[in-house]
Amino acid sequence: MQPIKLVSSDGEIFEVDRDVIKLSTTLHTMFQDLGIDEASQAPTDPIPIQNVNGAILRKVIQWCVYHRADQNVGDENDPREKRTDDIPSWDVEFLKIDQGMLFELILAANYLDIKGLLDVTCKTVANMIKGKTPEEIRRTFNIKNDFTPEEEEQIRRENAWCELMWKVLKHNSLK
Amino acid sequence: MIWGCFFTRRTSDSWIIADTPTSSSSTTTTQITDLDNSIITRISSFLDTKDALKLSQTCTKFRKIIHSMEFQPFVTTNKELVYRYNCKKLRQEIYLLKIGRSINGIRKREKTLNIFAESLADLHLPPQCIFKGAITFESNVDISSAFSEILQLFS
Repeated sequence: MQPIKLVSSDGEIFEVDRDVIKLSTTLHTMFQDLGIDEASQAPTDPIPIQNVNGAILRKVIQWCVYHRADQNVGDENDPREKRTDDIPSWDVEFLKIDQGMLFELILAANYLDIKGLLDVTCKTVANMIKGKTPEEIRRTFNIKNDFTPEEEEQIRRENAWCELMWKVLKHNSLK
Repeated sequence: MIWGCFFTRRTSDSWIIADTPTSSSSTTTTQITDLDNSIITRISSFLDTKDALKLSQTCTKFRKIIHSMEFQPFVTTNKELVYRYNCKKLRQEIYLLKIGRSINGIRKREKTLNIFAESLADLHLPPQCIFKGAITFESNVDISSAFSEILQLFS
C-alpha cells in the first residue's frame, strides 16, 4: 500500500498511510468520490491541506497513527458519550499543549472531520471549564466580558433563580 | 490530478515545494472565542446544566449559543413568587423570594438574593429552569392578567 503525501499550508510535506488517512472523513470521502481505492495507484502530487499548518498537521497525523486501529465510536446520543472523564491516558499526555495549539487542533479536526480527535479535544476544553465560576472561566481563556449593564442585570436575576440550585446539583452529583 | 480543485491553493506553488517548510513550531494565538459556533456547541454538549450556565455568563457569544441549546432542566423548589400591588407607585410588582423570607424590607436587605420586577419576563427565568413553587397574590392584584402572563411564560 503506497503512502499518500499531504502538504500543510506552510509547505511541509508528510507521507501518511491510507489506513491513517481513513480517520479523516473529509479525505476519505474525497478519495471515494474520485474512485481512488486501496488498490489504486496513490496520487503523485501531494494533497494540500489548506487550513492546517505543519506543526498542527504533524500533531493530527501523530494522533491518527496512534488511533489507526481504533474501532468506530458509538452513538452520539448515548449518554455515556457525554462523559469527559474517559479520555485515554495517551490522549491526556498528547493534549498537554498550550491553549492556542489545542484550539488549532480542534479547528483542524473539525476541518478534516476526524470525530475521535474532535471529541477528545472538545472534552479537554470542557474539563477546563467544569467547576469554574464565570470569572475564572474568563481568566482561563482570556475571554473579554462584553456584557452591557442591562445584560449584567439579567444575569444577576438569573442567578437569583439558580441560587441554592447549584448546591442541590452538587449534592445530587455526589450521590 | 489537480488537487487544487478540492483544496484551494493558498499561494502559487506553495504546496509543491516539499523540502522547505516555512515553520515547524507553533506560535498560535487562536483563542476559544475564535472557534465556530458549532464547535462551541460541541464543547458545551459535554457540560452539565450548571457549568453550561456558568459559561453562558462569560460573554455574549457563549450566552447566545448556550441559550439556544437544550440541557437537562433543573427545578427550582426553594423560591416563591409574590404578586403585590404597590399603592404608592400605582403598579403591580412581582417578588422572587426564598421560601420563608418576608417580603417586608426586601430592598434594604438581601438585595442580591431576592429580586422584584414589574413583569414576570423581567425576572429572567433561565431557559433551563423550571419553577415549582408557591405563587401568592396579595390584595388588589389583577389576577387574570397575572394568570395570562404566567401561562404565556410557561407555555
